[in-house]
Amino acid sequence: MARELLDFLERLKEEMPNNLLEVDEGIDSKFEITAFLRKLEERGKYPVVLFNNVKNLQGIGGNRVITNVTPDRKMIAMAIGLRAHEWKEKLTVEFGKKADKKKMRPVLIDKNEAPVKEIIKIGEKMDLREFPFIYHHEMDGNPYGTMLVITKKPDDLGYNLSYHRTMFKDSKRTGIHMSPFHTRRIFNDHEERNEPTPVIMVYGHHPGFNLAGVFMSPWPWDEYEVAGAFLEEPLRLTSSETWGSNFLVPADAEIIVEGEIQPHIREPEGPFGEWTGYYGPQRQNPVIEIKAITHRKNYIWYDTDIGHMDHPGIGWEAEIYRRVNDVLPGVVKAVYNPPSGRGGFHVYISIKKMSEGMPSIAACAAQTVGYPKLIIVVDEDIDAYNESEVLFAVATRFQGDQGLTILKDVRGSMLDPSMAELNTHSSVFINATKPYGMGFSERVKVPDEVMRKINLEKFLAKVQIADIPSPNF
Amino acid sequence: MVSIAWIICPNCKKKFYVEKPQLGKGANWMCPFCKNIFKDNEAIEKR
Repeated sequence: MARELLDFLERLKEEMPNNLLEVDEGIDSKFEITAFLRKLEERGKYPVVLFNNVKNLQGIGGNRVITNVTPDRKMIAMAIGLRAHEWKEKLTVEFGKKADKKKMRPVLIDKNEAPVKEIIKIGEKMDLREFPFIYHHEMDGNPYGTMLVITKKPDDLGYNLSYHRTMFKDSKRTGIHMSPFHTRRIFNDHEERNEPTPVIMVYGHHPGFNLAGVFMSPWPWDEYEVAGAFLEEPLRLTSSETWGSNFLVPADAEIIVEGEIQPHIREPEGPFGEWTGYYGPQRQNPVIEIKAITHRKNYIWYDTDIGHMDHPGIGWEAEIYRRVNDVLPGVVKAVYNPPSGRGGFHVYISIKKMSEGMPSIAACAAQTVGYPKLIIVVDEDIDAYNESEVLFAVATRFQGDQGLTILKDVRGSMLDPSMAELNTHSSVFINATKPYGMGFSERVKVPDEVMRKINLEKFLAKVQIADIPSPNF
Repeated sequence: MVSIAWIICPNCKKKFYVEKPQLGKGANWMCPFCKNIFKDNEAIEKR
């Protein structure tokens, strides 16, 4: 069986059943799903949630929605074929390595074999209101799709996969917001020629496919091949309804909406609660006119719980690791883009320091990826994936008049509410490493042999341990 | 600050924000609350 969303869910049920929450109770796509997730978040819980009875935009229930799939790095590890426990360094390294070294050419299958072609709607039969586009936050302009938008690059370079918000406008149109990256470049090229830009919106697939949309691929790469690397098998493609073999679509998707971004048309789009945790403002943005809808008979609408933990910083993180490793081979041990920095603004790097100056080089390399505003470099004995440990290093290995660097006028994210009007921000670099080659105080520890000897379960029943309340420090 | 301007919908009087450089150029705006579409010059700028 080809890799598809149901395949991932089966693996999740088998290996980590407590990480999947199925909800059969009826729920509305307007704020109720995100309210449900906030209630879980208040309790520190981030399971994958599959809602089995969601109302669509026509008010009709019975639709299935999956959301909150990637807050937990264990899910990301599983999605790209790793084991759940490999969510730290292994995930950071393998995410980039797989995409680079294990790209696979897709295979073409007949439309009759493609699950996403079980239902095909063209012309008057198309109605986006049949789907449970989600109203996430109070000031959102309209309900939104939050998944991958795919465009085709020029010169036979293949396809570009990236996450874009698509705002429901009416039964046959959506709005789209594009930051100035690859999708925007493709759109701009078409618009300069006064041509519509062919585009598909994939509202559901295996999460390994979706993660190809967060990987920082160089422009010439075909990201369908990157999806194959994460899925560990060639991606199955089939012809589109609108452009035939000139635009291939993923055959094992849940839902595909084919459309064209119209040139020189701008309409209000937004506000939208973005990954920063703030609303991006309403803008005059392009419009997609849909041309065809295809989906499985029993599709699952895939949503990202945007603005909260469900924003994987793994794409930037993996690329930072690669670039730091390029300039300091063998020195970098771990890179982490923590949720406190919204997956992009904070970067923690641990290195095996072999000379002074290495932390600065690591920080310079990291600065070239995404939008870092705080880069903390620590020694290899510090767990970069544990924010408390990183701040321990700042508290005990850093002095503000010596290890602090501020880089001004760096390109920032247009979604950062604190950014200057000129689209630049400042980046803070903290060197929280011990001085090289000099004596430095030793961290307290209990002897290793005694740690190995003492097993709490020998002294206490498991239930007693579980009952001990967690403190608030 | 990211470049935003708060405006008030002339229909429902609720406020939301738009990208400031695009304000005042004759564009339409859509109230996220009542879906009223209105012109720049109908909007009441909050700040």
